[in-house]
Amino acid sequence: MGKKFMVKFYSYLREKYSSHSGGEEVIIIDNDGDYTIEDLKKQYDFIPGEIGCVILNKQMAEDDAIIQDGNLVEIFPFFGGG
Amino acid sequence: MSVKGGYAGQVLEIDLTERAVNRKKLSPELINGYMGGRGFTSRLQYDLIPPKADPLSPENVLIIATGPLTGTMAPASSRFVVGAKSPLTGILGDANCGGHWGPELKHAGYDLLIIRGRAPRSVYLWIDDDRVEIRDASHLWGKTTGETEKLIRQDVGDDSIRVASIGPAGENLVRFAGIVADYDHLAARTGMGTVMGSKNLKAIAVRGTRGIEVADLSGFKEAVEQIWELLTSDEQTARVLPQYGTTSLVDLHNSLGGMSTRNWQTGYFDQVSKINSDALRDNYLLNTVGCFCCPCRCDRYCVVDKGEFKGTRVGGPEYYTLVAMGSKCGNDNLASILKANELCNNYGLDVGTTGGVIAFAMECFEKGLLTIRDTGGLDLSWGNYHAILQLIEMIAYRQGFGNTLALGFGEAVKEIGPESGNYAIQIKGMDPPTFDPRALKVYNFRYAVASRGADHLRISAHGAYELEVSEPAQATQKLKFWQDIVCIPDIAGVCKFPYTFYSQSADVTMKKALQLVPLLIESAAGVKMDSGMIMDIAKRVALTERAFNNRLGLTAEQDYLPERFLKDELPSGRAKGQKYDVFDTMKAGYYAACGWDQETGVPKRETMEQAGLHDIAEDLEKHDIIIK
Ligand code: SF4
Repeated sequence: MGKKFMVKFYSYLREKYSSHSGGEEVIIIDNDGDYTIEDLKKQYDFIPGEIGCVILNKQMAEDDAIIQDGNLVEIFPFFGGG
Repeated sequence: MSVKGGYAGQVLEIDLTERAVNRKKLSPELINGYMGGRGFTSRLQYDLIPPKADPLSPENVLIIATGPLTGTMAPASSRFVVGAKSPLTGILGDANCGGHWGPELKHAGYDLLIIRGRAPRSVYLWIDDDRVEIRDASHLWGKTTGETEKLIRQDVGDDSIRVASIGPAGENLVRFAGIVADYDHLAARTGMGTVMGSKNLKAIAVRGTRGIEVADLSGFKEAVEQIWELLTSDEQTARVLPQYGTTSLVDLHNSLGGMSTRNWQTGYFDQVSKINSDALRDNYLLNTVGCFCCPCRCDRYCVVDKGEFKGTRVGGPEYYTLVAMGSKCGNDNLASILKANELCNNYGLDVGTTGGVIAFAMECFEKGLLTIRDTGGLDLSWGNYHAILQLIEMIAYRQGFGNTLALGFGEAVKEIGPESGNYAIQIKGMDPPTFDPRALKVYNFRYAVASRGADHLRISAHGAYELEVSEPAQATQKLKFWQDIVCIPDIAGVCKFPYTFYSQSADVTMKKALQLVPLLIESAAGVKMDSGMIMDIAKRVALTERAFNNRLGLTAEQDYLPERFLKDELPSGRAKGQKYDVFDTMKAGYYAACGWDQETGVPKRETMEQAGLHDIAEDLEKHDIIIK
C-alpha cells in the first residue's frame, strides 16, 4: 500500500531541502506501518538547531505523531528573538 | 566585592550647561547590584532623572553604559546601552547598540558616561583617553550622520576614531530619532537621539588606546575559547546568522501569518518574495559585516547598482526594516526599502517607528481621514514608495505633514482627529515591530508589558513556538524566565543574538547565558559570579525599570494591546480568523509570575524586598504609589 503525503519547507529550509522553488515535496513511502515525524526527520538528516516546529495538518506535531496518507507536513526553521 | 578587571573603573560625568567634566570611580554598589549596560542605565535613570523632568529639558539625563565584557576578547562584546526618559513615550527609554563605539569607550578608560544639562550652542565631545574636550559643533549642525562622522575624523586628524552622532532628525527633535555609531549602527529606539539633540550635543567621538585588565587571564581565555567553539559550530550562529542575518524572519513571519502588512490590517503579504532574504541576496547584498570581535557577522551591507535608486549604499537591512518600510506600508519595491534605510541612517531616524507612523498615515489616507490637501500633495496610497521616501525627509526636517508625524502617534492623532486613534497601532506610545500578536499569541503578549513600550527584545525566547502549546500559567512563567535570560547579555555588554536565542537548542542558550557568561565575568572581574547571582541581577533590572515607570504614573491600564488585535480577525494567511482572545489570562499570569499586584501593576513589597530593592519600595511609597 504505502502512503503519499506532501512536505512543505519554509524560509531558509526551502533552498536547502527542496528542489522546487515553492519548497514543496511529494513523498511516497512504501510502508504499511506507522510512519512518524521522527522517521521523516531522519530521512532528511537535519542538523541540530535547524527545525523550529513541524505542523501536521495545521496542528503543531510532536516527533511521535503519525503521518497519514494525504497529510500535509509543514516544516519551519527554528526562530527566536524577532 | 571589589573588581580587579573587566571594568575600566571610571565614570565620566559631563555637565553641558556648566561645561564641566568630572571623573569618578565606578561605584561598587552599582557593579554588585546591576552589573553594567542596561543594569546601570536602569538604576541611574531611577536615581538621577527627576520624575517630573520633561524629556527634552536639561533636567533629563543621558546615560551611556557599557558592560564588564564590552571591549574584551569575549565574542560579540560590542554592546553599549543609552538610557534617558523617552521623548517618544514619556517613560523609560533606552536603546542598545553594537558596532565598535562601545569597546572604544571602554578602551579610553570609561564604563559610563553621564551627560546632564544643555549646551548653549551645538557641541560635540572628543574623548581621547584621559583628554576630554567639549568642542564647537556649529560646522556639523545640519549634517547627516555620515557627513558628521567624516568631518569629525578630519577635525581630529585620525581615521581610526569612533563616532556616535545624531542627524537632522535628532537636531530637529523628531521624537523617534536615534544615535548612529560607526555610520550604520543605531541605538534606534525610544528617541535617545532626540534627547541628545535637546542637549545640543551633536556627537561623541572617542579614541581609546588602553587595554582592559582581566583578573584571571588563563581562566578568561579558556571561557572565551569555549564560547568561541560553541558559536562557530552551532548551526544558528555559524550558518544562519552569517548567511541571512535577521532577514530570514521575513519569510517565516509571513508563513506563520503574522507579518505586519498594511498597518497590521493583515499578517500575510502576498508580495513577500520581492522583499525577502532571497531577493536581497540575489539583487543587492554586497557583503556581510560584523561588530567588534564577533564571528557571526550578521550585518548586511547592500548596494543598489541599477535602476531608480542606483547609488544607494547601506549597512542593513534588518528584517525589521524590510517589514517597517515594506509590507507594513504595502511596499514591495526592495530597492526603495534600501533607500529608506539609507535615509533613516543618514538622518538618524529609528527606521521602525518611522515606518510605523508612515503606515499609520497611509491607513488614515485610505480611510479618508487624510486627503492630498492634508499631506501637502503626497498620495499616501499603499505601496507608493516615492511618497514614503519623501515623507521620511519631511519627518526628519519637520516639514509640512512630516511635522505631524514627527511628534509620534499621540500628537498625530490629536492633529488628524480622534477616529485616527483606531489606526495608531502603538503601546505606551511606541509601535510594535513586525510580528502580529494574533498569529503567535503567547509569545507576542510581550508587547503589552515591555518596559520601553511595544518591544520585542525585552522578552525573546529560544523557540517561540513551544510557548504556544503550553498551559497559560506555565507559558507566562516561561515568558518571565526568558525575560530574565535575555537581560543577561544586556547587562554583560555582549550581543543578545549569539548569546541567547540564536542557538541550536534551549540547552545551548542556557549554557551560554547561565554558565559561560558568569564564567567570563568571574574570570574578567575576579569576583564570584554564578547563574543564580546573574539571574538575580536580571530580575532586579526588570523591577527597577518597572518601578521607574510606576513612579511616573504607569499602572496596569497602560499594559494593553491595541484594539485592532483584540477585535479584528486576521483576514488572510495562516492565522486567518484569529483575534487576540487570551489577553486577560496572559496578563494575570504574567503579573503573577513577576510578583506584581494584579490591580495596580506595581511590584509587590515582598517582590521588591526579595530583590533587595527596599530603598526603591520606600521611594515609591513616598511618591504615593501603593505597594501591597
Ligand atoms: S551577532 Fe550581529 S549584531 Fe550581534 S555582535 Fe555579531 S555582528 Fe553584531
